[in-house]
Amino acid sequence: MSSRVPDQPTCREIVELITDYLEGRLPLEARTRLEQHLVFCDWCRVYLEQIHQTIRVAGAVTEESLSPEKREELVRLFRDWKGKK
Amino acid sequence: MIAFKWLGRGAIAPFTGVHWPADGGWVSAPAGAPEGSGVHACRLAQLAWWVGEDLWRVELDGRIVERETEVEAERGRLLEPITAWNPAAFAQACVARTIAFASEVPTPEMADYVAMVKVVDAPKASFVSAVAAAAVRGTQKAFAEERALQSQWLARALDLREA
Repeated sequence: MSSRVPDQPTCREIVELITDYLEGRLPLEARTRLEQHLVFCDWCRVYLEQIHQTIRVAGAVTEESLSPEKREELVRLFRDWKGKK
Repeated sequence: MIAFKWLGRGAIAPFTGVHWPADGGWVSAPAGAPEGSGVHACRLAQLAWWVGEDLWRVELDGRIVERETEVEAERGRLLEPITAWNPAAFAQACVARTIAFASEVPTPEMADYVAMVKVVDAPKASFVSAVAAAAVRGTQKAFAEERALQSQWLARALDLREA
């Protein structure tokens, strides 16, 4: 549910701010506006939870914990992605 | 200081995931935490900005900072749940307000708000009604004023007092 009220953030703006929010880098006023948006916006709450989950999962993966095959697959995916850019 | 706090089921803070002890144990901000990282709650006039699943009366202590839509303290504790909180009744009050706005200015935009507010939960109904107020009055100020009126409605309906 995107807001049409001038000084309320839209969902698109919330998505852009989520990383700073999670890292505690948002100024207090922006953080308050973001949290007030999360109160009523299911979509942004789901997005935030997905980011939380990604951090939990990805944060637990270390280079040493990857098998050589998985490491090679990741490198290949990254090269393919870079090649398409 | 007596204030109020919206929490999720199980007394869990919606943004931080902090589990508030229902036995009245104190929840404290981490030592040396920057401003904004303390215990957040609201005054009666701020209730509608933060509508959630459960509402609690809380006690705040230590340094308290008052802001436009919230209060922040060094520590806080739950005193009692507000069992009279009825999200359906609040949502219905927001529907009635939105219908009144739409009859004042019968435009397709207002009809959209009415259609929307009838099918959403309490937090969304609160927001939609405030957006409708701003659309009718044509000012941003009306959005905050509607939130204030909603907060008054909550305080009255739930017989809440800060003393």
